[in-house]
Amino acid sequence: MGTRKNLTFEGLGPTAAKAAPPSEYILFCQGLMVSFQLLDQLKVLDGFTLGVKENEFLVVLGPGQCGKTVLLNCLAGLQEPQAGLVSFKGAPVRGPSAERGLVFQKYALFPWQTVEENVAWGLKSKGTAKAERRRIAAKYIELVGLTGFEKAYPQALSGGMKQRVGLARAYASGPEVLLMDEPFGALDAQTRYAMEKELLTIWEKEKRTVIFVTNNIEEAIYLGDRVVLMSKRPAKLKKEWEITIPHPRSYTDPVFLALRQQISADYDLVL
Amino acid sequence: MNYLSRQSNQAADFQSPAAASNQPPSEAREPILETPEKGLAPVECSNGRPETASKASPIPKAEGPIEPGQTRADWSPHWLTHWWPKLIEARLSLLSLIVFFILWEGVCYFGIIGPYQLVPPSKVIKIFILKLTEVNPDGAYLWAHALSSLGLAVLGFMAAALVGIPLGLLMGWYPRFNYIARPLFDIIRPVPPIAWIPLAILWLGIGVKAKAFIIFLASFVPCVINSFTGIRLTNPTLTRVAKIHGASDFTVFLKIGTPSAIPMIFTGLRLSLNAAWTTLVAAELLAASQGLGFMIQMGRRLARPDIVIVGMLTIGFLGAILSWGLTKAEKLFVSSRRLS
Ligand SMILES: Nc1ncnc2c1ncn2[C@@H]1O[C@H](COP(=O)(O)OP(=O)(O)O)[C@@H](O)[C@H]1O
Ligand SMILES: [Mg+2]
Repeated sequence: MGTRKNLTFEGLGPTAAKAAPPSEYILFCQGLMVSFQLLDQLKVLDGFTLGVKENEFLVVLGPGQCGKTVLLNCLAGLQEPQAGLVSFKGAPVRGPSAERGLVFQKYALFPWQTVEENVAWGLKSKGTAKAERRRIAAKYIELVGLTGFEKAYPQALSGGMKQRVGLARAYASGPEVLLMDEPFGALDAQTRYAMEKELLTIWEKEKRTVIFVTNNIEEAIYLGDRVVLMSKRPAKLKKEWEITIPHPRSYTDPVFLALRQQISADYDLVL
Repeated sequence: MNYLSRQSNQAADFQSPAAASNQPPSEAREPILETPEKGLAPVECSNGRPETASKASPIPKAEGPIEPGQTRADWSPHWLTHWWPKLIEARLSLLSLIVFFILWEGVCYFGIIGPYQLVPPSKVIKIFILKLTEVNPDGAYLWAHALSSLGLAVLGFMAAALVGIPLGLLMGWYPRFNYIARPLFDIIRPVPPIAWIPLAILWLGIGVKAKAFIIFLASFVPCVINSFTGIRLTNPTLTRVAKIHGASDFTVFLKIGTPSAIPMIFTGLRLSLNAAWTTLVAAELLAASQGLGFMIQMGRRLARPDIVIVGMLTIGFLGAILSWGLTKAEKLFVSSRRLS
């Protein structure tokens, strides 16, 4: 940690000022370098650069263990990169903030709290008044289709429902960017398709900038406005596709299939 | 139970024509009577069932799903398969108790062990009842001894919980705090609490304070260790969730770490209570003028095995009640708040 090459804007000088993020990006990272000191030096991200436009649905696709979670942690401000910068609306990211909500890979609900309390958690720590908390929680519980389950505890919910709660919780604290870390990775295939559809419906109603991480090519094409492909470790940005197929997309659409084949060809296999 | 048995009866009614026509009853009974070990019979049954069902009835399988547990009831009533083995188990346990008490009584009756070493169970019961209203020979009523012991144990235990749990939680959450407190704790930890008795008497005299201090030390250690381990087991994802919503480290400690640690804290409390009760008796054996430990010690001095045994049984009984109470409290607390 002590040897961090600090590349925030202030530290960069006049040349770097030119490299400041283009204003079209709400969230921007440049030259991210993250490595872990295990038995060897494990380089996870190596000079990773990515810009995210406002209200776009960006899918980050990458093989398992390539550093997708690490990348999201950096974007969220939960992890400090050894080199490189992350900026959000033009200002460097220094720590986590409710402006960048996270939906987690594993169900990450507080088991001792009801659905309503889970959803309102972020609001409570922001100091929102109780009545207001309930109103906002109810709104997002309705948005994800869980009205009637406000008083249920997570243990009584199915996997898909738990992820809906996670989504409602992320929405409730009013983020501008939603970071989703393989949110449907633990669901069975049928539930997964249903949740993908549901997510798009919700997103259409309440547009946010979404960065959706997955290792599933179909899911990426189904959801994304834009798909970026990460290479295997140490991860770089490998390729990028704009996806213009209109919603609702069909998995058997020829364009879909052609795209799927294209992306598969570039996808690094990691065993 | 009722609900289950009703369900399985329905299944039996529903299936009975098929079962009757295809399965000779003697053959069908065999696996049940043979298998007090659960788990063997259902496998055999379910191997047999689907065949007969499809042969005999055109009913599609989806309408009559047969679960392994239900098929047993097709052939014999629920009480036979469920309650009978339990009853046998209960009878065996009862039998061993009865044999034990008869042997004990006999050993005394025939003078194999003399009256200054052992008294028969009948005498123990008599003395127990007598001691409720009799001060002699050890100076206090039985309930007075018991109350004195209980009060002391609970006092030391509570104090240990109040200090030990927060200490363990803080050590588990804040590394710096751990670096400071850990070496001191590691010095105290391996010393058996009873070894503190002489020092405790030098410092605090023979009295409530010295014993409470020793009990405190004994129950303090498991409280610290288990709270420490418990909070270390906090799911890091939950911590991240809290942090992303802008919670401070202290808030995360209070709102995420502490509830996550509660099941382990209760484990610690149970161990602590055990330690408190054990140490209490040891302390009273050495330095006391009242209490159950003192009572059995007096019994030995006066060569009164009846007093000793009554004291021992009371100690065991109260100890069991205490840990039963704690387990109940734990269940209530943990399950009502979904902490496990
Ligand atoms: N805190 C950490 N300490 C050590 N290694 C880590 C840590 N976090 C992640 N890694 C390693 O970094 C690599 C990438 O992890 P991750 O980002 O979780 O992959 P994924 O793309 O599957 O989300 C993995 O090999 C993992 O073991
Ligand atoms: Mg991951």
